[in-house]
Amino acid sequence: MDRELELALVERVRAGDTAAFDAIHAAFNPRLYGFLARLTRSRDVAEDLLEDTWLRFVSHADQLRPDTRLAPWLFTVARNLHITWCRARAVETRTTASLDLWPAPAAGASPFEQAATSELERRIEHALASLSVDAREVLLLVGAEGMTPSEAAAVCGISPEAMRQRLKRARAALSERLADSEERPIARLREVKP
Amino acid sequence: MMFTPRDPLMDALADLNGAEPREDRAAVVRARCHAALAEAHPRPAPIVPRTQRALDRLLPVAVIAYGVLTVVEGLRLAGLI
Repeated sequence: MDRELELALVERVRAGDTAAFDAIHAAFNPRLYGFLARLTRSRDVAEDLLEDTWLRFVSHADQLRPDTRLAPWLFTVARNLHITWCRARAVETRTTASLDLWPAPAAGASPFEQAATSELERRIEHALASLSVDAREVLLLVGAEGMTPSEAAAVCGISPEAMRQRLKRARAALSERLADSEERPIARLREVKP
Repeated sequence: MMFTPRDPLMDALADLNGAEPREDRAAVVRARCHAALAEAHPRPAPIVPRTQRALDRLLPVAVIAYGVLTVVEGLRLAGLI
């Protein structure tokens, strides 16, 4: 999104302009959903967290700084909501496991894995889904969202140097997972064009 | 010109298909957000000019006075008063 347009939209949404909110929603909703769905590997949970992200955004709209960058702001909130959800789920899983009432849910394919249109895309989605949450989020923020390591570091609340290290490890892990399931060399990824 | 090598793996990540949340759910979220924005930013009362407010107050008085005068005039013409 053009920076001038972004600043104008922030100014308008701070004043409660619903049309400005709609423009921001249209620009970021699919991106946030992709990020959350790949983190949670569940369409329903991703939609719940997405709703909470937007509600958090409008409830803080009048407190936004005029120079707010929307992408880092929104992705930070989405990431924090995901962490909160993970903690809640961990407590819930421990509780139900100790009660021995329900079997542990099997890790299924992510919505993106199911919808992947090509074999290569399916393999990447599968490899991505098999990584740790930390690795997945940095790859999604930098690789899929195109954020700079500094922006992604701000979203994750770590230093840019730590982000670069984490990104390097995550990239290596993804490459390794792909190599495990690979029938063709990774170098041929370059050939994939929509 | 500096050449920056592309990372094919990152390119492949950037090329992954996007997906949209269900449209009905997105519409509900948008409506809730509009309501929250409207609640946080109530519309200011419209500014009415002073002359407009004075006319608004005078209008009912004028209508009643006209009605009374019309009745009195009618009675007078009928010779009742």
